[in-house]
Amino acid sequence: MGMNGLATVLWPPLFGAASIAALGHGVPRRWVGAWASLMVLVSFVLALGPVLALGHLPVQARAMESTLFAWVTGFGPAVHWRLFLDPLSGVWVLVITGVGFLIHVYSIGYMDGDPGEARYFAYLNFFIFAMLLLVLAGNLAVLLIGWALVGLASYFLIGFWYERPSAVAAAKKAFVMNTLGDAGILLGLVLLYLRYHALSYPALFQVFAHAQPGDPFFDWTAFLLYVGAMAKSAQFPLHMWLADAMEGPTPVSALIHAATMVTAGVYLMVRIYPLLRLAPGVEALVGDIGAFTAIFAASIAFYQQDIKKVLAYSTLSQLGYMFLGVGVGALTAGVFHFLTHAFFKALLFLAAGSVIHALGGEQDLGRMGGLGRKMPWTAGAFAVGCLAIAGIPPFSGYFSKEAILGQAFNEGHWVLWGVGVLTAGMTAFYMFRAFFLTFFGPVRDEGLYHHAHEAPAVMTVPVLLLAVLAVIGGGFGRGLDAWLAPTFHAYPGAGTAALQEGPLFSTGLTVGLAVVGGLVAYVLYGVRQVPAKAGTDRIPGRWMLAAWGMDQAWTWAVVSPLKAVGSAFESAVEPAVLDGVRAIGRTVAAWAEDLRPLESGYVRRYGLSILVGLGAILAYYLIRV
Amino acid sequence: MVYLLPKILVAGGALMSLLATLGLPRWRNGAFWVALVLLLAAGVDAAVLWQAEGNLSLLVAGSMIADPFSSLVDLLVVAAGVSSLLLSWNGDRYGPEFPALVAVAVLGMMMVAEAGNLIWLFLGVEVLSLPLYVLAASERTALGGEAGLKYLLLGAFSSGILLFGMALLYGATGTTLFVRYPNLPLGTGFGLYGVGFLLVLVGLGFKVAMVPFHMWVPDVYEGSPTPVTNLMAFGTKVGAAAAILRLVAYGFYPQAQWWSPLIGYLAVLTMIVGNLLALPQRDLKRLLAYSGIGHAGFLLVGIAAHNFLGSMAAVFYLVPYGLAAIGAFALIRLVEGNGEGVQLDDLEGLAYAHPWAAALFIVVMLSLAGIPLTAGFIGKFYLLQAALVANQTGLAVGLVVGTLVGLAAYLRPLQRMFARSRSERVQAFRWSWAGGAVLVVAACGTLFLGVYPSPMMHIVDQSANFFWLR
Amino acid sequence: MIGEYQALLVYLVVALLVALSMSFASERLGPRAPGGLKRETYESGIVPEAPVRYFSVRFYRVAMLFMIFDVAVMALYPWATSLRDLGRSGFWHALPFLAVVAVTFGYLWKRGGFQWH
Repeated sequence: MGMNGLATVLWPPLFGAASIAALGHGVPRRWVGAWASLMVLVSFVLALGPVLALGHLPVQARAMESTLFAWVTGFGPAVHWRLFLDPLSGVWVLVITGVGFLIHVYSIGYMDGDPGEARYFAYLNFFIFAMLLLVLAGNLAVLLIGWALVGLASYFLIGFWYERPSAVAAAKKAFVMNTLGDAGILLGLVLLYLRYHALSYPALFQVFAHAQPGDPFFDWTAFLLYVGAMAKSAQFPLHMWLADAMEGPTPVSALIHAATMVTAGVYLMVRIYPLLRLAPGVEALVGDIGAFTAIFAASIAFYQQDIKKVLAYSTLSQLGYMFLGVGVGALTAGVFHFLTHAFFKALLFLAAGSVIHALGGEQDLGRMGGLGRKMPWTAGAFAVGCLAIAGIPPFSGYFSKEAILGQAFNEGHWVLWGVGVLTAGMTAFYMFRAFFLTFFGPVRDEGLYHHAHEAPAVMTVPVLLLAVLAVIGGGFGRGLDAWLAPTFHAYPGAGTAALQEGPLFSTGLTVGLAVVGGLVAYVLYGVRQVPAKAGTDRIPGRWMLAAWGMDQAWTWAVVSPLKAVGSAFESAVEPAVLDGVRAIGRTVAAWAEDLRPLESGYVRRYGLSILVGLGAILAYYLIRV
Repeated sequence: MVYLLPKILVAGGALMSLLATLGLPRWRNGAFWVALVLLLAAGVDAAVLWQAEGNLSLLVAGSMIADPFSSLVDLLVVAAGVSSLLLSWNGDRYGPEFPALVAVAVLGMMMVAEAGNLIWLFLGVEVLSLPLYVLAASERTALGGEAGLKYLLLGAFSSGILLFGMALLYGATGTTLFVRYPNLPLGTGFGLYGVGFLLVLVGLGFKVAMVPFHMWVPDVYEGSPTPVTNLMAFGTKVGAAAAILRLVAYGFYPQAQWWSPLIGYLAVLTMIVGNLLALPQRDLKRLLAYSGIGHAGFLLVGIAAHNFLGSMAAVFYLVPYGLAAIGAFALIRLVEGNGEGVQLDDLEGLAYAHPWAAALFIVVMLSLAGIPLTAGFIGKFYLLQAALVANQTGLAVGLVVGTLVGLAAYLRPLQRMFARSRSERVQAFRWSWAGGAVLVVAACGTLFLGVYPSPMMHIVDQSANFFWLR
Repeated sequence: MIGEYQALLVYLVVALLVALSMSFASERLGPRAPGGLKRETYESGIVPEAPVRYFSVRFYRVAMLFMIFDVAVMALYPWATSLRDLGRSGFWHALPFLAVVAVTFGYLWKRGGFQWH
């Protein structure tokens, strides 16, 4: 067992999930939520110990390992259940448990009265466990298990309201795309294991540190791992599942599909930076696809009619920023943006959840409006989130986005920089569009407005706490830089990891565009009170609303051909194969076909089989000896 | 004497349970509880003995081998017996003598595994088989009667072969104590005693469901009541596999060069035929019967490898297989309710109507298929390793092919569970504490072993430590 | 070693082959006419004159029980004759055996195993 207590961080949420699953139906519903939240809080507190202890270790060896036990001991080296904590995973652990705790508390209010409340909290606790396992993994095998379990938890939670066909379909889609990613990681892992007979990070990174780029092996493994990251973090073209994943309860969207799980890809890419050094092509690809995802998703978010869809596409866009950062070597900036994004995006989702809760499940922007008067706290919190995500100083998003864009410019990636700057302006526009449509303007649906009310304290308090974090989160940058430095100095490949100052005109341009975007939204939706549907009947708007037809493209390019192959297989190959198989079964059955009644002939056949076998065995020895 | 205690407890359980049936109908479940308590006591005692025994000792002039392996097998067959009893809970339809007969069969399984003498081995085989013949027909249905009679006839036939082989062995060596054979000047070649050994192997292969001596298995499993099938699938297989292991490990290890390839061929044949025939089955019990045949093949891989890893892997594999089989039969018992047998179509909609039962069932089926994080994966992994270390590539390939074929077979019931409509059986589904407990324990054990196999490996390491392999 | 017993192997294999081929041939070549005369009781070729009266199945049960307990009790004879030499321990050792026989006997009795109807 780990002497440094890493394992103890994992157990509370797992225990919570198991206990709720076993006993959750017998106790009052409120207790279940409180119990689940408590387990996450315990995990957070337990995690503080090792993370703080980490700071006291010498800079050269700032990592802890703990081997739980050997899992399978093979012909080669054994695969162990190994946990690993270094400053990088420490950031993730604290965000997962910290933000996770707030979202658990919020869920107590949000899920109050739902018949599946116990099930919900069991899933949620299980998710926290799986996510912790993913980031605390000490080798790629354990990481893959966490990776798959996280996907499973997400599948359950997206399909939580399984009576809705759309929820089930969305869950299935997410699962399929994530499995694609899992397969990528599995293949990459197998390649690495076959070559180096090791899977643990220190062992692999040690090897990478002494290797030189140019070997296609590195490109392949890095690419395969990137495919896994791509699926989990919903990078283009594996991005569609995330928008559909909004079928789950809103706190789930906040926890899994914004703050934690979808950033697992960022974690993996930052974690394997020694490998990315050896595969510069893949590294460039990460940045390019990240930038494209950022602007592509932002354009889709422009005209979305569903408040959660807007947030979903904004998440995609912000994930694109993080990958952009990783791709240009701005690793700390990428992690920094993950951190601030976890705050402000969880905030936005929870605030949106309060609105949806108040409106009895309504998510259509076209039926909201004027809610600021009824829900001042929520409106204020949402405004803070919008300012943060738009990158308006001094809110947190400004600092992290600036760090990524500034470094992209410094490193000479001008195209990526330009795309990022443009996206910043677009972000401000669509976020404030959602804000004004929701909280300002005329009341668009009297019935809904009449019943709306401010959320209970158990929901507003976590939202306000997150709002505070979203305001001050930008101040963590310097500290984070120093905290992560030992991780990035351990192996070559992260020479440009530290935060950099961008040129002043870059900052000015970004903030300026964001302000313009916000003002345009204010004029259109706050002053002129254009309806939400405006612009969606013309060509770019229509396409943007339809997410550029990517769903259809996938259906056309991948799903339909696969289906065709499948049905061809079913009609041509499968009967042949199955018939072959069945024929064997039938031959055996035919031996006794007419012997269904209880008659000796049936048994005689079986006896004959024994005799034939015996004869064959004896004949075998007769021939052999 | 201390060593005999588990057997005495089981035999006492059988007798007292028989007496308790006389108190009917005032104390309806008396026979059940008496047998259950004494079986559990025997299990506890076997566990204590496992810890106490360091070394091998021979009892009754070498007829009984008292070592950790015997105690481990005792534990496993007690688990099989207890699970069968639990699955028969509230089953008046199986007749009042059901618990007593189960206890006698368990006693036979214990005897088989500890035999160091051919006579003891034969006695064990008979003590184990006779109650099963009756149990197979304990429900008065056409299929049940057919199963009982088929099992009886073919069992008698295989016993004849077994006995003939033993006679040849006695003739060739002059002793029935097979533990002494390695000390006799038999040489390493193939002789009269070789023929005898083959006949004994066929007789035991019949019990363990080795191809081509397996044809009784599907019919008998299908026709027998579910708790009885459970006992046959787990208990009989454990006992017979242990007997084969004991025989080759103690009596014939100098001749490994000629029996090992044979068992290897049979293992590959068994794995592939069993898993292949599992594919087209529509009845869940028949499917599990063929799966049991396939798993007998996996067990034989470990024996054929005839190295330390192999015997360890084979003994280890008994546990994942047993847990998964128990779990699957528990689900059948829950779904079948007052009826008999479960078709794959009867599972439709189970995943929505009873998600917990479905989830537990998924775990045990995935373990049978050998998916990582379940015990089945670890077991197959060790077997594969043993085959590769023994340089038997053919075995390894057969194991992988068999697993792949099996995978398709095990996914079919799971697929049916997720169908939209609900079958009548699923609508009538009712949890019973006993069946539910068996299912939960089996599934949890499967997951635990899949995640943390080290303690079990340690136990197996201590138990399968046959001296000839050191 | 093997040369000595090769003949036996050959013999076994040939015997098996003959048995198999005969079984197979009769299956494939022989005419099939189920029913009719085949349903009649076989009386060594003589046409049965009256419907056969079988023994009642109870007869077999009683005979079987007699056999079992007869054999069980027979095992006690050598014990009884040498009891003096076996001494006290010999006496105690036979008791469990007697207990098993007694319990099964009691069980049969109470369950009505000895009643004709």
